[in-house]
Amino acid sequence: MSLSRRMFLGGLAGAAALGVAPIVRMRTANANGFPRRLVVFFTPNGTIARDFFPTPGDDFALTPILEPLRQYKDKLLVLDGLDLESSYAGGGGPHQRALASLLTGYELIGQWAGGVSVDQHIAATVSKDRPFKSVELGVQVRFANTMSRMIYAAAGQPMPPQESPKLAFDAIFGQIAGQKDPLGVEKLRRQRKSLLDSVTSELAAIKRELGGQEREMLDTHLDAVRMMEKELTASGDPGGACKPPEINAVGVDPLSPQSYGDVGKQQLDIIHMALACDLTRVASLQWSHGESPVSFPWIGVNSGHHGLSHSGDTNVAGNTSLTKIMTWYAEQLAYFVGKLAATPEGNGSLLDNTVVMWCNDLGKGNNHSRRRVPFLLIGNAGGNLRTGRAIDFGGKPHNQLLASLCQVMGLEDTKTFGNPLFCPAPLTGLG
Amino acid sequence: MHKHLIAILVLAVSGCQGIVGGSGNGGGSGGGTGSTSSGLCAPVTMPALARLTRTQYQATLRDLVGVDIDVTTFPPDDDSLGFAVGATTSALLVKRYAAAAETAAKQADLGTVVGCAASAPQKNTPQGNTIDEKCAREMIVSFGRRAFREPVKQDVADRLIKLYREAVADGQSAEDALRLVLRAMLQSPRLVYRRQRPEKQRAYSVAARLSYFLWGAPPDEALLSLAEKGGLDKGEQIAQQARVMLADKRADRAIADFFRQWLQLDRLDAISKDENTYPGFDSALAASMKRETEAFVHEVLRSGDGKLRTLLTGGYTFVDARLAAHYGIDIGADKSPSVAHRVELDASRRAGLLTHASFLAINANTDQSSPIRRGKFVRERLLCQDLPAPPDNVAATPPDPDPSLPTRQRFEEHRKDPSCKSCHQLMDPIGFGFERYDGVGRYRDTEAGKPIDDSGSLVDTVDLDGDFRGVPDLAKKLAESAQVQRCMVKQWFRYAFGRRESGFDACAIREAQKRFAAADGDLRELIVAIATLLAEADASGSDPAPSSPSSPSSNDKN
Repeated sequence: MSLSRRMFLGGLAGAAALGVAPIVRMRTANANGFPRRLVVFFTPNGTIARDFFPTPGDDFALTPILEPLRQYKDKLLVLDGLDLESSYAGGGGPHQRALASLLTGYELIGQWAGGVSVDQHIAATVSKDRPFKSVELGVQVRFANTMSRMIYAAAGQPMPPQESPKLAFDAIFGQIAGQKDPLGVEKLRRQRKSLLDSVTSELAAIKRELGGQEREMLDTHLDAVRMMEKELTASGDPGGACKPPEINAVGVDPLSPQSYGDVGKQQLDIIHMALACDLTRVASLQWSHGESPVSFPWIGVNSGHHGLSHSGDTNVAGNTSLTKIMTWYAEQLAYFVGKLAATPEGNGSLLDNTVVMWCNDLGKGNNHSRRRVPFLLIGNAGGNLRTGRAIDFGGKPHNQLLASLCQVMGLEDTKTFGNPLFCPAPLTGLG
Repeated sequence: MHKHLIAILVLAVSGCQGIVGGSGNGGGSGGGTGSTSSGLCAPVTMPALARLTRTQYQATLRDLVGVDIDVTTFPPDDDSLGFAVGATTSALLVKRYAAAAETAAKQADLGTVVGCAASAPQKNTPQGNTIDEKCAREMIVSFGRRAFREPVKQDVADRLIKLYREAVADGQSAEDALRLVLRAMLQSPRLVYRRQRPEKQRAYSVAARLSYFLWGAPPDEALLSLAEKGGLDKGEQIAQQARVMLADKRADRAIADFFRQWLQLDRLDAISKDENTYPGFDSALAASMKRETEAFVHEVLRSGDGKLRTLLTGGYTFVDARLAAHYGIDIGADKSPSVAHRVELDASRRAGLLTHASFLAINANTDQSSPIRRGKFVRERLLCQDLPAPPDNVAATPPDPDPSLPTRQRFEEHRKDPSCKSCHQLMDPIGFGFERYDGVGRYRDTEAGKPIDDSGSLVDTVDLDGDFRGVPDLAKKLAESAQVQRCMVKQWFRYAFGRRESGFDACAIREAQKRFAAADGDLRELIVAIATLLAEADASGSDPAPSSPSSPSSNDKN
């Protein structure tokens, strides 16, 4: 597959035609009037704790893995001592439990997590009036099983990420690409609307015929159609920092092992612009899956990540490789944070109004521990986070962090998230 | 019920000492007392609603409008079972349906879709344009019957006609309006979902079950007519029809699809190996490996004796020039380098599927072989014994073997830890027997300067416990095992029903195995037996979603 710059520029016209609303000041907006955004950045297979967690404090010293984020040190909030307690309930293998619990705060119930994921829960409020409720992108996730899914629309309803930057771009910026004539655009819109209506009526008819059985799939289908209808009617005008990303995707095959980093960067570019254009307020990027086979020859790591993550504690070579991998992921994160920081909003930047959460399914790969899972928040979420610190919570269930995240994003009444058994209260001390 | 309960209790306490499902005879007489036209067992149940997998959707559009859509742009289907299942849906998928339907409706040859559109000379001219509302209605009724796999009901037709009228009223040409209706039909939930129909329309469901299983595609008009005339009502008719369909060229696709998934051949599409360890390994070589296995399976099932034994021990294979060089086989300079040629194998070195480079490379690490993965495949997909999930928070972390040791010794080291050993002893000693083949499937006599030890052993099996030496020896043992035979029945059952077997299916599985055994392990007879079970299955609203076992399968390994 190859993408030309022109194709993307075609998409630019499309975005103009689709129309991008000027940034609306909402009640989930900040004091400065700009909305809050949430980005989840997932990497798998645990970390090397001593190379990730700084000594807690207000003026902490950067660890080797966090070194690439040096420039944004005052925007970091490193969270130590959080456990995926909910993943120790229920059934399943360790990677399956971990992925399921990470964003839902629920254990597995049957094959899938028992609740909605925090990003979707937040998106339902903060992104309600945006063309896209949320944007889920992935890099070589490849599979569709329990250890490959972290986003859930509801209990038992996992959401797949889009793994192709080209398709992600087309879906977000190229809605009605190439149509410059407003009448033509209107006509296409009417056409799409009538197609969606047709799908809706058949779904309703089938639901009646089935009489209440097997409704979940049909309900999810119906929700999807409703979302697509909303995407059709989005209107406005792009301006300011909003420009569809210029992506040079020539020769980048989203599934080729060599493209891993390039695909990730393109997906991050797309997320950046979807946020800058206020097309959505919630996004996520999932790198690989719970047993990531990815090797990183470009940094001298020739073995697969999951295999390496089972290196023993005294295996210096193995652990060095793991630190290298995590450091490489931190570089990708720094690339993204740099883009947010360089996007002006009011007197500050997009980063000031965003919280990026770097998360992982495990704390430690070799024993599948879900304790001391590395969480890192970046950005101020409109002044709701006091950054530039490292905190040790000393072993609290991570559901508490998920509940705090809801509060930080403006769902201030949140008392709990996920399975309440593992969430006595939101965390204190983040703000 | 009492027996089920006991079976469940036994499974719950078994752990690694007795693997889940390890008895190979488990499940008791769990078929209940019902009977059907063809057998002694109660009908197997299936969910009332299932989504077409992306592969099935692709085949459906190909059959209906002759357009091949790119389903790699679709989110993959859940593969926890070992086979793709359409048990969930998502916004991303719904958008892909819309995009695929748009492309297919644009590219379709309307004249083939519905005859009355064939001679449409110009768009929307009053004279000579044969497309009108009557033609639209004809398309909805005749094409819709195939697209929705049953006669189109009046209210459904009326809604589609309304779509046509609105498009024309909106100033679209008749042809464009017709294509719009086609586009709606190609993304209609009536096409995308397979519903098990109530008694009156049951025959249509049966036709669709048979065709998606045996052809990987929707029923054609002949099959729908047969269903309508009551030709799929009785067990004997169904078995007869299944044989006819299996003999049809269209069954090639479905057979290849089973083996592609069972052997995880798609992993070769994006496999990567460490350049330093395996210089020269590239995607072209991986593609040659995939072709070898596809050609071999095709030969055995479509031209050969169809026996499981031949798949496991066959003394021949198919290699193109690239793979021949990889294996060190001479195909002769006069042969076309890009075609896979049949070659005889040195029986002491290679025999059957388990010595294919595809299998060996997929079940290996990037920079070494993997006794674990190879043993795991045998344990899970040939013996149908599920390995329990790795323990949570194992007390000790793995030892750090000396990297200069041969693979076998390093993995043996790893098994010294008792908490690892209990499960790894079920995989690794089988995998050690594969050590003659490196991470890309090349034969070797030494590793790290030491001669290869290819002795292996099987424990905790029903009828295979004991030592073996090398894969050809292992393959011979597997080929004669009743446990392996029974496992193949289960694998085909899972593929057909999109779910794992339970105690309630034990009777049906036992009957199918009898037929398979009576045919001396001829897979074609097994496929007919499974097709019959599928056709006679009962839709069950109370059944959980097709791929929802009580907890995720340990097959859920990437």
